[in-house]
Amino acid sequence: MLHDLQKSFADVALTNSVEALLPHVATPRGAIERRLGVYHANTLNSLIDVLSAAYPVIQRIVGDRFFQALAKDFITTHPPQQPTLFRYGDALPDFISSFAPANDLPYLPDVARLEWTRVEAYFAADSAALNPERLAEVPAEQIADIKFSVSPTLRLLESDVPIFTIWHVNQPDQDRVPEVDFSHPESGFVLRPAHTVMQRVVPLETLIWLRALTSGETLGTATELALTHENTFDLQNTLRQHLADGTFTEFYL
Amino acid sequence: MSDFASGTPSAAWVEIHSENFFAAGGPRIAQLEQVREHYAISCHGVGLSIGSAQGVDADHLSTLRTLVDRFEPGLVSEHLSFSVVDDIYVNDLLPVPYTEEALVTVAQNVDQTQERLGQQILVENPSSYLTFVDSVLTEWDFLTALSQRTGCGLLLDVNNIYVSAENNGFDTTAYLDGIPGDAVGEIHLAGHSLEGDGEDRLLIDTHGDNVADPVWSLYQLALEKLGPRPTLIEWDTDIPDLEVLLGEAETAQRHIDSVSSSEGSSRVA
Repeated sequence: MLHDLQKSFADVALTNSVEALLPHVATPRGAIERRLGVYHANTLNSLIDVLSAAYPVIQRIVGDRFFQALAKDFITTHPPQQPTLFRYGDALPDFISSFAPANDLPYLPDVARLEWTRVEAYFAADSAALNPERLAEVPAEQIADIKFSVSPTLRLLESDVPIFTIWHVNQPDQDRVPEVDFSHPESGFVLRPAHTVMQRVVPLETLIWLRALTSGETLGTATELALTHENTFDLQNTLRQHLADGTFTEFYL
Repeated sequence: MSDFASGTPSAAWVEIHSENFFAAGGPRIAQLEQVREHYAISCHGVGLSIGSAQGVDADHLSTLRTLVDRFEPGLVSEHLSFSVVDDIYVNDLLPVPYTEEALVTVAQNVDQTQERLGQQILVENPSSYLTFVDSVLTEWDFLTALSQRTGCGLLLDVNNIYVSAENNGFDTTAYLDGIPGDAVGEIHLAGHSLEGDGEDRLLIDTHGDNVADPVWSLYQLALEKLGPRPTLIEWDTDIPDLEVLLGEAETAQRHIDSVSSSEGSSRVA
């Protein structure tokens, strides 16, 4: 049956398990294992390249050899389930959490999550930013009732470790990695206003405010939640900043 | 691709890997919009897996349809191969056995694809490193029957013919004689690498080198049999400077010109 042959061939490609396919193959035995190895190498190396492109910071932190071993383990246990490869690798951060050789780098899964949110933002739908002047037309007594639609590229992140700092000091243009205080939590967001992905660290109260607005709360409720966490939360400046960034695409009353 | 966004290089069309543009939005799509302003587009799929026993994925077809509607490609092509089994995607173009069962399967998948897209697709011959016990048809007879049953066109990859013939021991001239010439809508050329010798000799389809001399000869023979055809140089790994690529394209154009009659209009991309 065609299906059984194809299943056997997929096992060759992913894990180099050749036994089930060999009876189907006419090519002489002496030559076949090396030839099947070409399919395995093509599959594995191309998928390692996909992960490497999505997770350059993880690769830089752990080094090429470690990354290859990590990627190989991930690919054989979590092969792609669809052919659109820019969506492949979303499960890598959780996989790193369970990957014993990475246990002494506890910040690694969250840094990987940041890298994946950047990939998501890069490929997310385009949207036009809300024109701030339209908000000026809202009567003052109704401002608190505003609800926003947020950009499809917006991603919010909160971590017990300084993921944005770790990401930044591991960029290719940083040839000397400074000391990083790994006990310092960081929260922030990723956004792609036009064609370039940006990220910014924000205080936790701003993240709380953004999270509330993203889940459909009114501006008034979101602001109360932020103020409850930190009573110096500055609504005017924060709102102005996010209108300038293009965080919001539309508002409703 | 940024070279082509400006519209500067001389090329008849630009061929994309369809799946690279399956995103909802973002810079890649925007760049393709720019390229589209200067060149015709051809959508060359690597993920639909028309050889899969489990059939082609309806969502994948829908996304491909969206891409086709948006960029109106002159040609849409897929490979005679499979890469999906039990909903696992193997990122390689794996060959199918040339059996009646496989022919029925591939023909159904091609029918479904052409119906969903509302247009003909071209099916490309694969490069392969092995043959199957169960195969009862030659590759060219399989492709001929597929084209007859579905009305699909063929994308003849001359490098793949050469690589597969050297690896699996068939006659390239018989291949070209056996292919229905009218069905061939496009030709691909690419580089390959040679490993080992004697029994270990193996040609690997790398798309990472200049087109080899015997492939140029086979290309000339194909043009003499088929007449001029739009031709694309594939170079996906170790990509050289644009001048090197355009040099290969000029060589291909000289071959086309050598067989073109006054009405010949095929171009190289």
